[in-house]
Amino acid sequence: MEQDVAGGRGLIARIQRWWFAPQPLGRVAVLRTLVYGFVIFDVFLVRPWVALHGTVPGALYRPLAIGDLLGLPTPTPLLVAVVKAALVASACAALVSRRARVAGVVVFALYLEWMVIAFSYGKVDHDRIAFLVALAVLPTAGAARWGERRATEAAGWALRCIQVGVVVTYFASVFAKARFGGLDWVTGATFMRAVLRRGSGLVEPLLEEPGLLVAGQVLLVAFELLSPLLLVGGRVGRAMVAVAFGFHLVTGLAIGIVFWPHLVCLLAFLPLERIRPVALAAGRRRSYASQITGGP
Amino acid sequence: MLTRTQRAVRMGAAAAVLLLLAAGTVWGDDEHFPFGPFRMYSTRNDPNGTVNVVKIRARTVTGEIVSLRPRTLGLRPAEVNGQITRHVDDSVLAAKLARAYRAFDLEPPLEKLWLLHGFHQLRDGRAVDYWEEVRGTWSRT
Repeated sequence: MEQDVAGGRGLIARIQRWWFAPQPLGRVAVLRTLVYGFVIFDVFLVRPWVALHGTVPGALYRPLAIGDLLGLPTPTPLLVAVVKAALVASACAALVSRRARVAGVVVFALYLEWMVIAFSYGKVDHDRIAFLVALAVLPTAGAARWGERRATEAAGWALRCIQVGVVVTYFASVFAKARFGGLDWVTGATFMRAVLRRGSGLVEPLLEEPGLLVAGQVLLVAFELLSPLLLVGGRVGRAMVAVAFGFHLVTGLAIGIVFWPHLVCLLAFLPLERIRPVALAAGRRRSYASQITGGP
Repeated sequence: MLTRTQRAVRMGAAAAVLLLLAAGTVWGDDEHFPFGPFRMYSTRNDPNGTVNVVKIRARTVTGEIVSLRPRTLGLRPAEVNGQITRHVDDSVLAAKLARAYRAFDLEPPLEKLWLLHGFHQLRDGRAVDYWEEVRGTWSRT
């Protein structure tokens, strides 16, 4: 029966083949290191302000729907400290585990709570969905180690989910612009607002060139509409990955906004399984040995 | 190779998340995180309208006028913007910000705190004028 589904010709069989196309476990292993490593990096360096929310008066706390639904408590200094310590500890455990199953699930739950603490004070960030998906699916891919070329369906599904999360972030944002900004969003002055509020010295000259900012808006929407091409692979897919990294680099330099967790997930499109530190180190040792012995 | 059940569970989970994201995009808002719409920079500014910037200014007990960065109060600039839309009366928010200043044990103590809106007037997409208005005030009693 399993064979029938995998080898069938119907639409459902084709959809399943796409979602479960086997991918190398080595890529899962590298992503686990990056994702769980980023959790620690995020807590201490990228968003250290989340921890401050425990001290902000509870009167400024407006829980998200998920906080209400799960009955999550109003952050206090103690609650924030406990969640922070448990999150960092579980991320460390997931980093050293080959399966990252139990530790991975704990990291997912605690990171979600960390996000509720982060985003319940008047501003929600929109660079998280692919990262939360990654935290949810990485524990399902089984044991994996760096450089492992063996491909499995479980790894394929996990990586596909992360990739789809990345694409959804771009593609669905076009609909949000149409809904909240109107169909004439592209001809508005939204980029001018961004430059006026947070522009770096690099983009100050653009204050005198509103036409260029409108052109930037058109290019952004075009890229977001074309973002599903990230999933086609090959030359087109690689070009789209390069454009995506370029876009985030420009945004970071221009207005200081970098979608860090999203960028970690963007790496799921790259052949990370080719990174083999052990083989690299062995190769280096061999070439050093041949140098000192004068061998071939 | 995954079993049929393992596949079904995974497909069900993926479909549920995609459906929730689609629903959030059409009907949801930021409060529905993580399934809310991806509305980063989604609102439109009229090329002949205004762009507003929120500022927090205060007078300390020593009489000095200082500009307070939201970060010193444990908030990000966009969070102060978000709080404004949640407060009908900006003076209530000004009082809460003064409380945050005390909660972080900042010195010197404040005597007065103003919540200001700065406005950049745009003409054909270019900023041509700037002014400020006081929207909320808190005074130490």
